[in-house]
Amino acid sequence: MNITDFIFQFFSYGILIYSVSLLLFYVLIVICSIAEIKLYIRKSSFTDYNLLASSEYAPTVSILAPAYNEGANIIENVRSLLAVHYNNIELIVINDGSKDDSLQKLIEAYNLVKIPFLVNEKIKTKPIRGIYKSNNSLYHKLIVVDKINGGKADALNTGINVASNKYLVCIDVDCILEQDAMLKLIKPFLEETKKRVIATGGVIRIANSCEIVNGKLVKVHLPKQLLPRMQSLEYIRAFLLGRMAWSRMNGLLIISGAFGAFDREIAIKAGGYNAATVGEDMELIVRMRRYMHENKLPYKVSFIPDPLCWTEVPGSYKILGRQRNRWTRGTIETLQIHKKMFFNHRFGILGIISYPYWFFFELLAPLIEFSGFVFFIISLISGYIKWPFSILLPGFIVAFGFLYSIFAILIEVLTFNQYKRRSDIFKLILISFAEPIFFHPFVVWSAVRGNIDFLRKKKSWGEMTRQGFNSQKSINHLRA
Amino acid sequence: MKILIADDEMIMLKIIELRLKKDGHEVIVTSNGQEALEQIKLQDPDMIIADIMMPFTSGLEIVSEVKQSGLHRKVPIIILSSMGQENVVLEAFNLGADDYITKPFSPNELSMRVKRLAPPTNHL
Amino acid sequence: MFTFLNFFSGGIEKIINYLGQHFFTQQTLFNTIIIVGFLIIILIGFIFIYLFRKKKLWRRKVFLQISLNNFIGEIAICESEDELNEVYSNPAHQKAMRQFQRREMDRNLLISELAETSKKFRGITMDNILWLFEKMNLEKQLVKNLGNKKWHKKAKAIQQLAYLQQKKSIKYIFSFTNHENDLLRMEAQIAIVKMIGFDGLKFLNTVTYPVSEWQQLRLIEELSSHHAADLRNMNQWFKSENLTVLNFTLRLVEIYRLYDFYDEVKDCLSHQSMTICKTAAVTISQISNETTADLLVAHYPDYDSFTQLKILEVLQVDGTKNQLPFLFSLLDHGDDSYKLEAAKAIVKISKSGMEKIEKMVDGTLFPWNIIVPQIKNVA
Repeated sequence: MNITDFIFQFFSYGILIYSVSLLLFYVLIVICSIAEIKLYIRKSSFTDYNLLASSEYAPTVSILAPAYNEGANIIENVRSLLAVHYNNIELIVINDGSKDDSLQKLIEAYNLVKIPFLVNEKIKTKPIRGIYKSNNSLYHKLIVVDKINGGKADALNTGINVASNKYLVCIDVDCILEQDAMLKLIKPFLEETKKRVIATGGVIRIANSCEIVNGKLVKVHLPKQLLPRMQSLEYIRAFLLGRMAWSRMNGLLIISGAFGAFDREIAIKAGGYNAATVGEDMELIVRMRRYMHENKLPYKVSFIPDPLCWTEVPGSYKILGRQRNRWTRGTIETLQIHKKMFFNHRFGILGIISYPYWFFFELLAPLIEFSGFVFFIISLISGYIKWPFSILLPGFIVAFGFLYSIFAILIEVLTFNQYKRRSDIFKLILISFAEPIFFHPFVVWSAVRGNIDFLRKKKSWGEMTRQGFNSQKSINHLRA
Repeated sequence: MKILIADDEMIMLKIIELRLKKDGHEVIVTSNGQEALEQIKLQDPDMIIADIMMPFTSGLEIVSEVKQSGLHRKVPIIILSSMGQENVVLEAFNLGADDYITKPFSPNELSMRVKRLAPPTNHL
Repeated sequence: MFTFLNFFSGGIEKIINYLGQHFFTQQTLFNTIIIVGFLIIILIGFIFIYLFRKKKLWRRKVFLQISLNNFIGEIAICESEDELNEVYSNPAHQKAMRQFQRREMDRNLLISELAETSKKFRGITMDNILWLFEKMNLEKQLVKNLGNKKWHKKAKAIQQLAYLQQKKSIKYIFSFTNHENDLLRMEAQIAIVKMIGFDGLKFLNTVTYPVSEWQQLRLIEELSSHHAADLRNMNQWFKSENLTVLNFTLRLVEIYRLYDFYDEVKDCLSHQSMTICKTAAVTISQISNETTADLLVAHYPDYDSFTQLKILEVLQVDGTKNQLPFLFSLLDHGDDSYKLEAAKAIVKISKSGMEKIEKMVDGTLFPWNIIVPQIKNVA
């Protein structure tokens, strides 16, 4: 065959094989997760969460909530966090050098006074300006830490230093929690008897267009805007199918930064959050896992398929683009920092399956898709199209994508069924078909830009815009 | 007496309703906080019995709203809840609740407490 | 080099040709897409059929629940056996009940409703519910469920037997308290304790599987609604090889202030497992006497830092002048947390403690410039 034929076929089949292996992996993921979810739901139906959440013997948990320029909403957010349905908490709000009057608002609303408080700086952070507690006994669970701006990772590290309990819960300050969320998140730490659970995470749901009254989720609606609606489907795929399966294999590389729990001792021993990366939530989990491997300690990272936390997602292409760009850079940075684990059997499943998967199918996927697309355009323009082969090929891949999405919706309906209205499910199904046009290419493009930006060493958070609820969120990595 | 009850569990509402009706009271049944507040304004009950954990508005918010409003300030409110922690009970009383019963409870006991809290001028 | 490239590309060419002719022909691609399309349609159909059925079942359940609620409600508030029989023999109720008894699904719904209701009430109401359960012969169904092969149905039946206080089944349930299936084992343990309180802890004698912290929490909560009975078996549990049993025993001693077991707890302070030592340190502080503080200080060097800090916390409450030299020696410990906790203890024990500390340390330097005000602030 001639050279053009060769290149054409090489590319086509290359992408095809890549896609087929990716999709086969997805199928494997699906099979793993179904069994796990079923088991979880069965077990869950036996637990009286109400009773235990109010028990005085339940372990005390330190909730870390970093805040930056939250301004208007900070008082409400803190109020709803204090009202969380779990008795034994210590709520540590870390004001990361906000430029607005968040701190002042908090001081006034909660009768805060600056107190002398020794912080054992187990992890190095930017200096603390002051620690505040309330005069009012109603708010005795609240500690506010005021510090010099250092970014989210730095703020969380400060929180880790200040916290005094065994279990840490890191939360985005405007997350809306389900009633039993705290207890469900902590349960894996207490249930496991053979290994040490070092971190747990749950499902994050999309709060856009949901009715929220007094900081409580009252009614669930499918988001009305197009982009958040697309993301609903994406989250269902990622959380219900992807993470559940990884958790079963004990290969989970990531816990959402929006709501996750950690073992404080291990987090400190592993060195705390890395302030030099934008993907700090993923990087910490990987590093904690690595620590346990290197010290030959049996451990587990658990994932709870229950929807625990609701948060707003970007509604505009601009902000969504920044978010995905940042996620990509975070992934690259994390994989780069821990490249020692690549196919390294010393790290068990982490090294042999998880890391390579993330490298090939998460990191490279957008790049390969993008080059596939470019290649396709080139062949169209140059007229070198093997009709109808060139349509069948992408058609094949897209069809499988549809199948996967529909399957995810099916699992969602069979298990937790958050969207109860038939019309919502119908809309979700329509979204699966609209995704390859309106959503997916944009996400791929943002990821490609992320790679470019990484190579250009852009290390900022971008601008934080806050309009009520609209801001960059720390939920990381939804694929698989 | 006209008594309004608010609880999101059907069986709870039924049993309390039947018990109070047996005692000769008129009973208004509501299943969430919002409905309760509406009915309080419309029907002007002589007593309110409310659970805390309910959708839309919690029982504690009902206490707070009722005790701070002009009209219904004097209406006795009994909180009936499965949350027994000290801080919740204290908050309920702080907001103005007149009694606090924890679940599981005895409907006969509730009946007694209702009699006890009845405003003296009101006779069935 | 060139020949290698040639060889390499030739190989790839062969693979591509092979794939092109056997796997990825136009026909197979086309067929696969059609198949996938069909699958998608089937799945979508399945989703909607499922949603439809679910709604239908739900509506039926709600309808049944309403009529059930009426019935259960009237039974619940009866105040005498005569009244109960009167309500029960009401022809409308009789008719409804016969409908319920017919299908297994409905009988299970009935059992479930009765079990759930009995959870929420006390006193005569609870007794009435149990009366109804027995009058309707539902016990048979529940025992049948108990024999179900699926473990989660078994566990559910066990749970319901406990809610409905069916003490006759205790012996049978006991056989599951050391079952290898986690859920069955835990539900059996909880069920027995729910029905007979502290006497139900007998399973601790025989359980070989670990009792997780979660399970311990549930057991403690369950026990809190029973009166603390005489715990004859406790001696045995102290000798148990199952460390989680020992841990749980220590917690019971702590919560219920069982002074009688002081010596056993004391022995646990020198246990091999650091977890046991830590729990024992907390326990002994709850049943302390004059010698406890010295005891803890004596064991202190053998412990890890968590336990050591815990002991310092205990000394803040139970410490005596005897421990002062030890505490003062900690004031220049490498870890600042130790300095803080030791200082707190000193101040608590001795009236002139703060004075002495301020003389010994440089109050202008970190960490004392924070520790001193912090302690003074709380006082």
